[in-house]
Amino acid sequence: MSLWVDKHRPNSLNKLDFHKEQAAHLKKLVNSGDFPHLIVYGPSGVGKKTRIMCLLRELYGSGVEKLRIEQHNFTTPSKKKMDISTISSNYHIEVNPSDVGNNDRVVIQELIKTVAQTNQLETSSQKSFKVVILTEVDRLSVDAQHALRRTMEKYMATCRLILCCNSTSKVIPAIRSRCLGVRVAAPSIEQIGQILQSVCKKEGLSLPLELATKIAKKSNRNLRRALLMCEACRVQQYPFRPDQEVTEPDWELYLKETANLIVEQQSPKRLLEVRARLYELITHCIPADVIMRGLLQELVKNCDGELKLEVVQSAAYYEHRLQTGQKAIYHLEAFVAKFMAIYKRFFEEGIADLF
Amino acid sequence: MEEEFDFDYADELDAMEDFEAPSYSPQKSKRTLCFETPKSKTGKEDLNDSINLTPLESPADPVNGSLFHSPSKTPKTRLSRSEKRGRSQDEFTLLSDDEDIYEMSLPSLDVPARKRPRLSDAKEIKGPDDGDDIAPPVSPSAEDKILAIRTKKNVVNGNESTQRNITQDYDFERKRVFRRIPSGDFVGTTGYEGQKVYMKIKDEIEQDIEFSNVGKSVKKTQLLAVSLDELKDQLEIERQQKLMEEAERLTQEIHSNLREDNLDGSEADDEDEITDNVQSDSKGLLWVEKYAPVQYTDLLSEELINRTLLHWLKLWDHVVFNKEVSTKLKDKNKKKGNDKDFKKKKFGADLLEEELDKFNRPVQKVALLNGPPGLGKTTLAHILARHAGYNMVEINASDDRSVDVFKTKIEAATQMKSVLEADPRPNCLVIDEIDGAPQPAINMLLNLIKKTDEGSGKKKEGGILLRPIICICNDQYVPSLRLLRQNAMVITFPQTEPAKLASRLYEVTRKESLKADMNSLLALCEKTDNDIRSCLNTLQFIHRHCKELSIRLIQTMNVGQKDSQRSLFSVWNDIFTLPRPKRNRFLNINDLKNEEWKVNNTSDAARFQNVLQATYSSGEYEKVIQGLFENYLECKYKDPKMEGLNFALDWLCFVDRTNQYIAHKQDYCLLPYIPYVTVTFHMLFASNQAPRIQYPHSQYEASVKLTKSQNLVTAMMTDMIPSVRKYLDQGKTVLEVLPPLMDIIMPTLRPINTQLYSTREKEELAQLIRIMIAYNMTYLQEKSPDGQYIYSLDPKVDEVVKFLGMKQQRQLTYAAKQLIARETSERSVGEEVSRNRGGSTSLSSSNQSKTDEAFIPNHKRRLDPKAVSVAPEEVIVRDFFGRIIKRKTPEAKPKQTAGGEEVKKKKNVLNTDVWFHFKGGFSNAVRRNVRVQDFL
Amino acid sequence: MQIPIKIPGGPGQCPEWAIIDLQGGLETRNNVSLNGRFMGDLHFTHKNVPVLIIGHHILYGKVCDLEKPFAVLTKKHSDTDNDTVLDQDNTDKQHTDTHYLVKAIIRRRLLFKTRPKPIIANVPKKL
Repeated sequence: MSLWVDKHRPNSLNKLDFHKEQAAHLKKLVNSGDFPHLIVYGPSGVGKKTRIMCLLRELYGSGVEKLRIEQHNFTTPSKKKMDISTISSNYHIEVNPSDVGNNDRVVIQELIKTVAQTNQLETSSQKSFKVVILTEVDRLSVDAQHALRRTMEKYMATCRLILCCNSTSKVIPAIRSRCLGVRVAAPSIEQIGQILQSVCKKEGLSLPLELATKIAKKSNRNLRRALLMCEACRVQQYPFRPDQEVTEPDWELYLKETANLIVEQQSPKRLLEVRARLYELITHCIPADVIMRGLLQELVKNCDGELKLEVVQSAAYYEHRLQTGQKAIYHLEAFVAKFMAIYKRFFEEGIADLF
Repeated sequence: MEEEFDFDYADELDAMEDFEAPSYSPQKSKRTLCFETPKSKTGKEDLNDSINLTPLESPADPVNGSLFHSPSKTPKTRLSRSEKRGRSQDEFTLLSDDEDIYEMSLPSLDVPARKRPRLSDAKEIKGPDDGDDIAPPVSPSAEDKILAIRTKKNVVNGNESTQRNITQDYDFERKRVFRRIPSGDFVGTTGYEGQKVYMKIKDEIEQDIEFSNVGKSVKKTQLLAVSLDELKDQLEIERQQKLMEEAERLTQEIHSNLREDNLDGSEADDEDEITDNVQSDSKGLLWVEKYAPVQYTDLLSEELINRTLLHWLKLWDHVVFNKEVSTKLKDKNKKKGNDKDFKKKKFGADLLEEELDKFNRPVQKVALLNGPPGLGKTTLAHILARHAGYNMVEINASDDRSVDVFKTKIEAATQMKSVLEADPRPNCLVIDEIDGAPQPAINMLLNLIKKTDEGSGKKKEGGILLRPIICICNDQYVPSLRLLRQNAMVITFPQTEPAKLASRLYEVTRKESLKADMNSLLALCEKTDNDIRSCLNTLQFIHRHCKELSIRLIQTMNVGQKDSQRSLFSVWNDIFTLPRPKRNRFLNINDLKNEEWKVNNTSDAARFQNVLQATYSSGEYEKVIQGLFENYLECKYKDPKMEGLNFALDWLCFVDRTNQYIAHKQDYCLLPYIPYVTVTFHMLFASNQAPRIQYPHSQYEASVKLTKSQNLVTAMMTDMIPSVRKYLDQGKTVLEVLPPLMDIIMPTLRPINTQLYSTREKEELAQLIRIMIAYNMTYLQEKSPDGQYIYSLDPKVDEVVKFLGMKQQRQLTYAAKQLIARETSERSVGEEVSRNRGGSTSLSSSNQSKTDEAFIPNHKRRLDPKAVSVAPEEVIVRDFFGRIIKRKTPEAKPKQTAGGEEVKKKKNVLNTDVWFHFKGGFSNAVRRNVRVQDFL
Repeated sequence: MQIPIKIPGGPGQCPEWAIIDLQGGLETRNNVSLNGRFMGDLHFTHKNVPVLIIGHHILYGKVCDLEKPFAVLTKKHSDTDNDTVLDQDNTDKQHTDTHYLVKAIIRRRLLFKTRPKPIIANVPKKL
């Protein structure tokens, strides 16, 4: 509990820093003693999990904060053994089924069943249901989601599900309709700035407003990132200076460099270099869609308005294919090649116009 | 030069001469009588032969007689038979004084008779038959002779003489009765055991020759059992016969050609009838069978290879047959033995003969034939083994090749000699399709080979390889064959020369009255990649439909194109290079319609087909496509607008998605679309000059690296504090948390003793250590390759965060890392304690935290040996203050402090002398009787 | 024969004691006698669970009601009041005068039968 992110994480709905109205709603919801299945969605680093934990605390008391990590073993129908770790308290269990890839269906079926089928011992003092938190639901396979929909209804008496994901677009409608959707929007830059300053104040530091805004901007409205960056700044240099440099993650810089390489020159040889860099990114656990998005953002900066449309369209096209494919590198490279072709054509046309 | 050649290949030539003479010439069988091993051989062969004889006799039987289509021939056959019998009796008279041989052959004859009732049955049937056969005069001249001989000879044991007859008959009958279709005219019938046998139909000239020979042999006087002259004569006869047969065949061919010419003509003469009969008889036979080479000279494979293998087989003679066997051969070998070093040992030992043990085997005990299918590997092995006097035992992929079965089979084949079976020749094991055999089985074989090497001199022990083994495979580079390859004589079959093959095919077509010209046959050869088998099959296939083979037919035909495996590199090369213009021999039928088929193979359609075929033949689409992906950017081609690139990559994406679909749904109906990607690449990127193609490994490397990174992150995450872990997943950890965290855990620490730190700095250090613990990180001492000790992060998540060529992050000094490592390992143990105590965890309280540590139950203490091992070193490095020695004491001697701990505590906390002695399980309370008096 | 038992004061004024029932014995270090020694602390938790701390041991017990209440008596002689309770040999002769005085009534006992737990200093007691 040492990083600022963890240290200053609010632990009750009252203490949340933004979307207070929503927090109040949630509190009302829980105060009735029961609640429907929830699906909490929103971008990364806006405090979805924080909200969920506050909710649980409201519901069960501080007992939910006594967490333990457990390993569960499952055997797939094809006799493959899998391990998955869960985080649980006496009142809830949290699992990320997409950890086991394609076999998530088994996890959903087995784990939730075991949890849901065991009744709470002392129903008098506790709630009659347990809570199962499923994270990264948008990465669940369709099979698993279908497995989930029946489970949700069947074990309504003994468990509540809280699904957590970045976007509901990949959650099948059947599940969406069974849950109460809670959207957690990203905080505004000002909000982040304020939070940063208040955290620094709690730490006994003074953070200049300029730096706070700078960090907030660099964080892409991701509070976790903002706090971590702020702390990194603190480690690098204290007292803060308003014009202090905020270090960005290596992978972002690397991605930017790659984008620059693409814009610089369009040739098969360059494409080969870019491929090596793409491989490098992929091997550093950077998800392909993040790479795609990062590339697009950088590339679009170098385009004229008309070109922008075309580039974004092709990016969308290839990202869609990327999602349906297996080998990300093909699709990434295809996008890069496409951009090169578009850009080159545009450039040559421009030159032709000159003469 | 010529002399040298002769000298070098003397024995091969010699062997070949042997083969030109039929393998079962009387000369040979006589010799085998002197063998040690196959002593019983003659007898058994005789028996075997006597079985074969039955059908010969059957014409006399009215029932069987109807089987013959041309009864007119029957008397002839019988005639020749009886004549021969006469001759053989002649010989018998001559030999009769040589009792030894006679004696030897007799008992051996009995052995199988006893063991195999069926055989004896055969004999019983035979006995009267023979009598009938000989008794009635068939042809006056022959009868006369027989009678004359009979009177001359004193027939003491009629019965024995009959048997003797059979014995002698064998030599002559052998080449009359064929299991395969012989060349020339023949008559087919069903044998005694239901097998198909064939007899040649002979001319009178031949008979005359035979008669004259009979006369000759009678006149000869000799001292030896078989005189050299006689042997020579017989050889001569055989040659003549051969010539005759050849001539006969030629005439046949001419006839058939003639017939072909007037095929449209109304009447078919007698000969045609016969041919038709032949054809109808052989209808059930595949041409592949029918025209399979039966003799060494028939072999189509390269001479050198044949000879090498033959030579190798001959090397076994010494072990397999006894020494006296092939003196002639041996002598020749001796002369030239020094030239080939792999034989040296053998022949060196040979000179000493009797004294040395029987291990005069060739160095390489296994011959490994490899080459693409249809070159005649199996045929070669069979023919050579047969000609070298072995009995073929074949194990192929159709047999169970599990280790146990394999072992018993090999042992059976190599250790034992068939006693029960008709054929007493030593075994030669042919393991066909060995590349498909499981590794353990091959290891077993290897062990067998190797075992023999050690166990020299212990023949009785068994397990010694005494028989040649020939292995046949299509791909010698199969991993399981790696070791075997080193221990074997590897013979690689090259492609059969198309010309040679085509001429053979031409012969066949002539024989089968199929019109064909050389060109079309050559085209066929090319189409089938010189696969004899598929050529013949194709021809037969065509033969059923029409009588003419045209080049056009071959070009348009769909059959015959081989589905062979091709190496990945050759496929890639095909894809990335433009084909050289070359006369096109096969085209799609659609092209024909378009009248474009005359265009050479550089036409788009042909290229399309070629590349597609190449891809099909490789079979590994995944690999092929991966190779394309990794190599296509290196190609030289013109694509200024990069449209080709886009197109190609779109195809790749398509393939990828298709693969994903297939893998996900297990629905393979889309699979056929995948190979077309190679065509796209070919059309786009093919150039005249092949690029340097590299084997695709980057994908694999990337996946390995990715797994490594993922494992690092997972390792870090599994042991995080739950309350931290809860809010993270792998993606977030990598993208958002780790990069700043790397900065956070590397603050600037003043390189001085921590004792001198200000409270602020101490607090910072404590904070740092808490972070490290919460995120399950520490520093581990490691030895770098250049021998220096360094502290590196554990788990090495910094590797995940850092990118090549990016700005290097600030690193902590060695001392700082050491300090952190020590603190974390200490603190992670006492984490609970120190956390509950709130703020007093700064370094100033480190003395106190040491005492805290002392109270930790012993079972936990064991978890931190690191603290002990690192700390003393640490103290030496930093120490020039007295206090540190004080610190060292509790660290270095934790046990002692544990002892002293109680004293300290007694003073401080609960100052009392009284202590409670718990007595679990029972009570010492005693009930005592008390008298009332006591109360008064 | 009668042995008179007197209750000092009124019936309601008799003090009530409790037995401490230990599974085990009390021992001393360094051969010091138990007499007059400070033995330990007895506390009650808010749930009325007795907690006994002896040395570095902590014992958790429970309160039991006795089936029959005990009385703690002191032997008294009418003539010589200052006789000690344990002086039984003397009392034999003058038995007629002997009477007992009720010191206290015992209705409950504190039973400590579980294994004592060690106390680790500076660690907050788990209650």
